[in-house]
Amino acid sequence: MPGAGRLIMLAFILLHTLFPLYWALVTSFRHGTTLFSTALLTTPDLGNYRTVLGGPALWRETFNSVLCAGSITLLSLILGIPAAYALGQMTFAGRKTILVLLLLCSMLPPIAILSGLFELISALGLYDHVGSLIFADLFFALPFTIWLLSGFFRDLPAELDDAAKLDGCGLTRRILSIHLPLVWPGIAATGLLNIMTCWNEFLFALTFTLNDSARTLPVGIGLISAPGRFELPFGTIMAASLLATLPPILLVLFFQNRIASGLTAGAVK
Amino acid sequence: MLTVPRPMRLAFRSFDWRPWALVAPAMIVLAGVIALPFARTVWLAFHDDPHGFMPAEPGWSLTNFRTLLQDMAWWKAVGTTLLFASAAVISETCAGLAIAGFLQGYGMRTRGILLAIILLPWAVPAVVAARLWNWMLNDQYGIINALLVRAGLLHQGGAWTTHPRSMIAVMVAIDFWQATPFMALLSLAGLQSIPTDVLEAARLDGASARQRFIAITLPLVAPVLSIAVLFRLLDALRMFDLASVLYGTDTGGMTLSAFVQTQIVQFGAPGYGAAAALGTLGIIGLAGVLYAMCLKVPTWLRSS
Repeated sequence: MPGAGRLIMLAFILLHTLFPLYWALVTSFRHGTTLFSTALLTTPDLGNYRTVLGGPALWRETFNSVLCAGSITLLSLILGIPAAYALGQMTFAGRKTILVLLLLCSMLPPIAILSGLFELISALGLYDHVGSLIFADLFFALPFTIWLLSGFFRDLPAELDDAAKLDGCGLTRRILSIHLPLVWPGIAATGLLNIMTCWNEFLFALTFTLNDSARTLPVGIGLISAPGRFELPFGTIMAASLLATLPPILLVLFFQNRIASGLTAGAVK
Repeated sequence: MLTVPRPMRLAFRSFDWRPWALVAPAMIVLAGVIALPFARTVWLAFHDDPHGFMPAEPGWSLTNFRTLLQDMAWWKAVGTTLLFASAAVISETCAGLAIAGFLQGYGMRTRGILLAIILLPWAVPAVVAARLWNWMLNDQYGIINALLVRAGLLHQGGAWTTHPRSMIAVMVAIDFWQATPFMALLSLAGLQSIPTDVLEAARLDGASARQRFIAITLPLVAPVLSIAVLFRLLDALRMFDLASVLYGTDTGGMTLSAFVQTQIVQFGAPGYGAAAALGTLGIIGLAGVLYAMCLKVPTWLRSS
């Protein structure tokens, strides 16, 4: 491709990628009648950020989102690592069946279990609690974790396990002190992807919570509406949106390699 | 201590319980989180649902499915979802492949930086993307209308998010913004698995860029790409966030997932919602089978 063509394509890709985010930033600095302006530049005015950060809603939603993403990631790793080790490093009858079942689980759309899950969560008394989301989000986090990590475990040479076994190293110690450090990149990638999926999750969060107290950030942002009939809420919506988007964006910028390897491993392995 | 009879000891030894002990905790949790709710969903779907947060009537029945077949809103959601998913997946795959090819022209360092930037929209929560684009596409104050009018492409701003004809296109555009990075990343992984000497040899033999792409690159990328496309297709067919945030309960832009969720939450009809969910599952399964058959077409063509 000639140089000029490359540059035009690069400019187009970057513009398409970044302009919406830039426009969110511009809008978040505007309020009142300045919102109607289509000028591409604006002077930074943090009024909307002050409004959003001054109220309790965003802080509570952030707390819920952090609690959710953190506990689900931790839980799915604690439950998933032993299972992934067994599926990736051991040979036993039923291994294939379990892998196929896991793949089917991760292909199941969440709405396929929504009715039953709604009843189950009500029966457990979790409705309108953050606990309902921690329970429900395991639906996608756990199969994904086991599937991805079992691929990473499978890539480790079997000789490693055999050598340690001959030296009299027990199963628990083999997993903890030999394999875990080696699959560390895989664990990091899986954890990061789980954090991002939970942070962005909307269907369960919208369905299983009713009051402000259990809302996560996406639900809060989805439900912000105009404070008055003649007022456009876009300035505050964009301020809250950008604040909520900051954590995943920082994760991508800092851990781009890990996330990319996790995403490709999901399709290649 | 030879009190234990030999055969029994052998039988005990031959069954290795350790893998099962490692797998069991996860399997038990999955049974509670997936198998149990799914079984309950199937049960609810086959029981007459009185709507309005009332318990289902006793006795198995097909009423929910009969109602579903005559529900115009359901069929509209089927059409919307299929149109959205095919438009989104096709456009994202082509653009992703193009971007991947473009990125390959850069060195490791530049490519890493560009990839991090390109992945940003993928990291944005779909709810945020929906609200952001809804604002950019606002008929009166949106920047996109303003730019189009300024460029002379439009006389008057279009009502993108309210006009029935463009409602699905808006969802495709937002999904394109968010999911193309994913397709680009996976296409790049596929492209990098191609040995460069093969392409080099073809070039020396006088194959044109187009010939090289069709005869070498595409078949070699296909294994990775076809799985990426399958993931993307399954994801697009279950899309909920954009439809819900942009259009709420408006049937003009309602996808199947939004239809099911609305039935369960707004109309208090978990049974009818469950029947619709099973219908959706059938459609997704059908689409998956159709896709797998499409993948086989090139092999048939070659063999015949």
